[in-house]
Amino acid sequence: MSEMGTFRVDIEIENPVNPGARRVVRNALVDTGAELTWLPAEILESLGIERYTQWRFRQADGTPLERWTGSAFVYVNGRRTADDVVFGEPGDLVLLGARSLEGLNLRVEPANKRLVDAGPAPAAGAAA
Amino acid sequence: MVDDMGTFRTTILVESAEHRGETRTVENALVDTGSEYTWIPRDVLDDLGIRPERTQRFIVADGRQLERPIGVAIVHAAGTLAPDFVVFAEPGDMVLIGARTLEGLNVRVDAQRKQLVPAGPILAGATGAQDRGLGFR
Repeated sequence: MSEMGTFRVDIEIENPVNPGARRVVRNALVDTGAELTWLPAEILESLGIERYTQWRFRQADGTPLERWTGSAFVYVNGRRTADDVVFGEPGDLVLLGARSLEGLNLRVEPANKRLVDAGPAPAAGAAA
Repeated sequence: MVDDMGTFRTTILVESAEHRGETRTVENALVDTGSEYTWIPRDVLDDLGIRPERTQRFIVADGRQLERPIGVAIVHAAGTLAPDFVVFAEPGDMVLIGARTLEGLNVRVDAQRKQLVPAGPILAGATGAQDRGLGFR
């Protein structure tokens, strides 16, 4: 399956409960249409990340599926965010999802196939 | 099913490339850089007289493959437009604005502010032979 407009990045994962060791996950599809980041379960398990809740998802053809999620630090381009991540099963896509991108404060630039700084984050609070 | 949190949706306009000026509005298209193509409900494309050009195979999140017809349309979003192949989405399919269209629109996807923003100048690189290997001498 060829790729044209989509692109992939390498990410690193760390267990926030037991920081120190990190695992590299290569070629994660940058996917603003995925709520969460999807990673191979074996990598999350090797870091000791625990499954704590199940989420239901809907795929492009409307098919629902359930997967376990857990907490992880996600590193991309030298930045870190804490997020819920999906324990991907064999055959599942590896995805860098919208919530992680939001936490990393990165914009997706499909034309140049890169992630760029999103600038100052909103901190709106207008007093009367 | 959970509500959208980091993901976001936008309204797009679909136009026939053969009959310029004929458009249909498609609301709540999920901005999806993980999808190569833009997915539009088949009845919208049929209504515009857009014909399937060929069948394309896709991979969904759990690794399954599926096939859908694709055709040519002009997609309007974020104040600009881009001609592109679009997918004839079946009932139950998601409505998506995909990476190729976003690339054609030359927009960045800002997941935090949930908006599409102009990506600025496009590269038009053409380095002539005289520049090769010369560096900054």
